[in-house]
Amino acid sequence: MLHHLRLYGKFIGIAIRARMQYRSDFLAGMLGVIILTAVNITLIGILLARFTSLQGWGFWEIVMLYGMWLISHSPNAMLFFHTSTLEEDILHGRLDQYLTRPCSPLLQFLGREFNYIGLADLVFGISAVATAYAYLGLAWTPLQWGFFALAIVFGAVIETSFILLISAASFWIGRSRALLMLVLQVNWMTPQYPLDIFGYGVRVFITAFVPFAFMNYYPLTVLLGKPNALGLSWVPYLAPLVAAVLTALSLVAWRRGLVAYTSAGT
Amino acid sequence: MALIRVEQLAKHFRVAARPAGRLAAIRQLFAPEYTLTQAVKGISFAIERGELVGFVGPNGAGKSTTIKMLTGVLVPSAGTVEVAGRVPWRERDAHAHQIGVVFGQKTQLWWDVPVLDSLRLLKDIYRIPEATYTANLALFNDLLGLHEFQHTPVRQLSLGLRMRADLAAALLHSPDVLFLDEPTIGVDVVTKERLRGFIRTLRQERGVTVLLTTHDMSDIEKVCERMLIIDAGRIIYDGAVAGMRERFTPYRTLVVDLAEDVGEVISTRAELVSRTGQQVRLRFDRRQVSASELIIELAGRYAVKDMSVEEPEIEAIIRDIYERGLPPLSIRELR
Repeated sequence: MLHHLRLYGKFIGIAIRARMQYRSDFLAGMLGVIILTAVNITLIGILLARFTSLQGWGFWEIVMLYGMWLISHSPNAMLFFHTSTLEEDILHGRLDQYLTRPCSPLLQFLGREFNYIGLADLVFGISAVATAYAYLGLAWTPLQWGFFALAIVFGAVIETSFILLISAASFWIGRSRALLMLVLQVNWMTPQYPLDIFGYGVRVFITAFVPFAFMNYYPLTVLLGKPNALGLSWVPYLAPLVAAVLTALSLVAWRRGLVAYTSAGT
Repeated sequence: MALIRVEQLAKHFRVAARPAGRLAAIRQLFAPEYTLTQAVKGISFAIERGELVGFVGPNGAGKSTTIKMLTGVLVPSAGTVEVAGRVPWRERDAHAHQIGVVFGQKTQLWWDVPVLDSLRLLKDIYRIPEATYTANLALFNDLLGLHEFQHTPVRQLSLGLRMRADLAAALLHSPDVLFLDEPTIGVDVVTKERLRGFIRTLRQERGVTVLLTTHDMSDIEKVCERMLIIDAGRIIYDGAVAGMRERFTPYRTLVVDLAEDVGEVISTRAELVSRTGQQVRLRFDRRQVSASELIIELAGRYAVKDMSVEEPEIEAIIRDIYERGLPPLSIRELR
């Protein structure tokens, strides 16, 4: 296990060194971080202009919703952003080299790239949460901070494993792009809007089948003392279970997928 | 106990049928039809430690599919495959330590960073002891000239250099078996010779077993002792490279350069193939007449300036086999 973690670190190391080989791209990436931050700020500004309140969620609560999603999303953005390209790797037979090495193919695949622009999400997310925290005059106990931290972790696991699960469908159905785009659309709405704005049916669907709301919405309903979209107080505490189930499903899908892997022609 | 054991190995793929026509394409969306493609139809062979085996076949014959099953990339549909007592796709980690693979069409190295960086990472992945790592690097410096390009990013290497780097990467962990999937494709003649020499040296000094897939017949002739021909998913020949000529075609060609123009060139023992100016090509059956007999006959009858004997090319033999299947004589030679 330790060997695997060390190896993963080395994979990321070589991925970073690969990026650094291209100075212009690296510098452009730095610029990209700044631009991304500006975009994030603008988005907040738009929210400010549009709403003073959204189904019982005040402005700073929305900011916190957004910021928390960004923090929870940042591991995926930095480390696993390329997961959705699995489809291309499968179709072009690029997994072959992973399968002939004495190392978990999944580990090699996940360690393939490091997207440092994701740092912008992390930094901005922390700032947004900190600012909202101050404006809302909150004073969380260590227990609540612990809950916050755990929710971030489970949220990140949920997002990564769910995207991996959908991407792994490519092993059987070729391109899973359409399905993935559909799923990612929901994920883009999650940071900005509390589930309450949707009808009850949609809320149930999103919670049960596209569970990104566990990254920010559900934990915050607990931390901010709000009723959640399903009106069931135990739903937010399902996060660990959802994370575990999705992780298991994605690992099984990956393993079965490798058996069904047909590589490319030559 | 054979090092590589393959028994009734088969692989089929489910491929979506591609009916023609516009309506057919739409129908395919809602009620898709699939056909079963049998890429490998139950092949069996055994390779002993230290053998240099060539794997030959027309495009689409099932060569790559077989290699991929041997290396653990694909899971067989039926049959058994064992490399050094391990089932490749089931014991992937243990199996990977025993084999080295070079895919001619794609590199195993990390694209953007220097070769040495890739090798160092492989050292970690394979848990190669420092001593072995250093010794192997020294060997590669010696035989492949690694130090000339070890600091160059892989993407900047020419194909010949990249192939050498890939070989180094494949052998860094001192595997017992080396799989080469079309390693000389697109490579210049000098590098080809260097690669072939490297493979022969490997077997000599380290007893590495090599399975080489190639379309280049000189690879086979200069490196391999044994050859497997696969066609349409079946093995149609499994035997020594030497003696292929004698076995498959008894014909040799005598090329005669006449000193002066003559009318017809006749020989009772040989058949006239072509005549261009003063050069005459005669085909004779080695079982019925020897080259020296024919030379004596012709030299006695005509003024001959120069003569040479041509062997049938293995390539032509293979081409014949691809196109027409095995001649009846050689089927008896198979097990």
